[in-house]
Amino acid sequence: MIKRELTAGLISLALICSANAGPGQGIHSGPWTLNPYADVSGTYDSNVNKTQTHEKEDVFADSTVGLRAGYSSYMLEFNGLGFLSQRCYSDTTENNFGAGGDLLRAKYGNRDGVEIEVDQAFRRVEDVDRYGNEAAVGGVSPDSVLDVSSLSRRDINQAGISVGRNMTDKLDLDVGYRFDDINYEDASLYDLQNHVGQVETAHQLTDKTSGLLTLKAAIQNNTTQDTQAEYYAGRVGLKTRGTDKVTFKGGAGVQQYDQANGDSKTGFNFDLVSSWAVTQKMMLQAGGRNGSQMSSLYSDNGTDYQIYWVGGSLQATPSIVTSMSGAYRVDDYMNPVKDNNRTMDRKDKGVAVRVRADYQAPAKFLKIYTEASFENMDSNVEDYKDTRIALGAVLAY
Amino acid sequence: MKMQNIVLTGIVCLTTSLNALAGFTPPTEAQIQAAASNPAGLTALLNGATPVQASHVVKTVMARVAALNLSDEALATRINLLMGTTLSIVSTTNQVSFATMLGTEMGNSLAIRSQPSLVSATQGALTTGAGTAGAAVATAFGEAFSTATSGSSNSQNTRNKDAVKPPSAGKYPGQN
Repeated sequence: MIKRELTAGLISLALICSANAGPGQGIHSGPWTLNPYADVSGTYDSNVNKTQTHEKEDVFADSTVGLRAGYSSYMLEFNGLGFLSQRCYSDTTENNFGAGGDLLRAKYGNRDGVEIEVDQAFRRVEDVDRYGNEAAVGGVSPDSVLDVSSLSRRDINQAGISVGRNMTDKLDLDVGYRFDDINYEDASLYDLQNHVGQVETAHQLTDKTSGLLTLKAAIQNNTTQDTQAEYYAGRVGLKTRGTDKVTFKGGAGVQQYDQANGDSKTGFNFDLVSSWAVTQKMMLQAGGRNGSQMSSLYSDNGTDYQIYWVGGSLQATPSIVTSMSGAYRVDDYMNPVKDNNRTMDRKDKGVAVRVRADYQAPAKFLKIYTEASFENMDSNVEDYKDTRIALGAVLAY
Repeated sequence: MKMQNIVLTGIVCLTTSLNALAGFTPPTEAQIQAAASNPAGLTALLNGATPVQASHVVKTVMARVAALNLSDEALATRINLLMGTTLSIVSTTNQVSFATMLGTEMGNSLAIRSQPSLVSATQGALTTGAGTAGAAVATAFGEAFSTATSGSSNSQNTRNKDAVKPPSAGKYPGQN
């Protein structure tokens, strides 16, 4: 036993000694790359509790330490991330919180044979889920699980698998499944689970365009009340092959949502994303989609949502990158809700805009950034506005 | 004896034919490492490869080059040699789609993402190496790389309903 541990220790030591490392460029050893980092920032927040009345402004500090790990070989690509973070407010210290989590993704094979992607993620978060976008599960869109307020403390579990293959020179097939689970600390909010299966085929129509057929089915569970809703969508569309400056993937079709209370609703469904490489240093993206999902706020209720977004990035100089993004979202609740003893049809419309500039210091391990964001929620239940301005630094080995 | 020679010759011919038919053989770790140090070795690794297979091989070699911690100048020279070898094998008609696949593969590799100078060197090598199509090939590469790495650039979401994150479908156009 001791001999085995000694051997393992010596192998580890040899790997570390033979590893190449450069500040800001990761630690490399054969197919492995390790990228430890720390992120510290200070933020002014105009409305820390995101309320309509009694707005309170404050300043908070975020600090995060994390480790990214990568493995790259001909057949296997692996990416992993673990992080821990802490937020401390200057005045409203009752809002302080800690967060953490992991994201793992492995991709095996290639599409001439079979490409398999497996993903897993866990995050305990409060406020914006900063790593949420990295937790996408290949091939399966993430709708259905919705948290009611970004200020709610929650545990998010996600896992999925997708299999893709170029069946012929002209026909591609992708099959995927993902599982989402969200648990709120606040007992008055409903915990949700979501199982989604998706099949997508792309058939080449021209040199640059393929026709798409996407079929999707989901089971949504309110685990607090043990109720279940079902969601189905089918779309036909087009996608470009990504060889032009403008690329597009999108489809339109129908969806059906069977609510937990037995009501059923059929409607239009769409999902599109496009990008434009304006120059080698400037890129624009835009998209939109809709869907239906259970509510965590009201029992036996759900929302029909639509979301539209734009984004862009510009490499202004070799050391400065600027980026912006904006989103517009509409949530239309399916059933009337009660608010202050009034019964009403609830509809939320929200706009969010973010601009950011990143400066890569001559020392490659240091990046400094500044970010401003604005959010405006227009709802017949509760409105709010929130502006944030942040200055931060990322240190990475 | 004569019959035995005929059988032996037949077996040799059959084996040779089967090897030729088999075409591409996935490279070993040692071969990848060797190609990263000596770009001339890449030619043998790409023998018989489809554009998809070629993009995987080149991406893996690039990841090993990233691990060598070369100076910017030495890195540019190494990448020029690697891309020159690659473009001489990939047919002209496939160069743009190959560059798209390579950009996506490289964008998914942490070893490569963590070295921006390697990415810009690759784009430069494609621009010069692909001749008159250089600009189109380099643009296709750059866009695919940006797309693969910019999943979080549009994460802003009204009300921060973070489980519903644009863009959808987990994949952008142009990604395989």
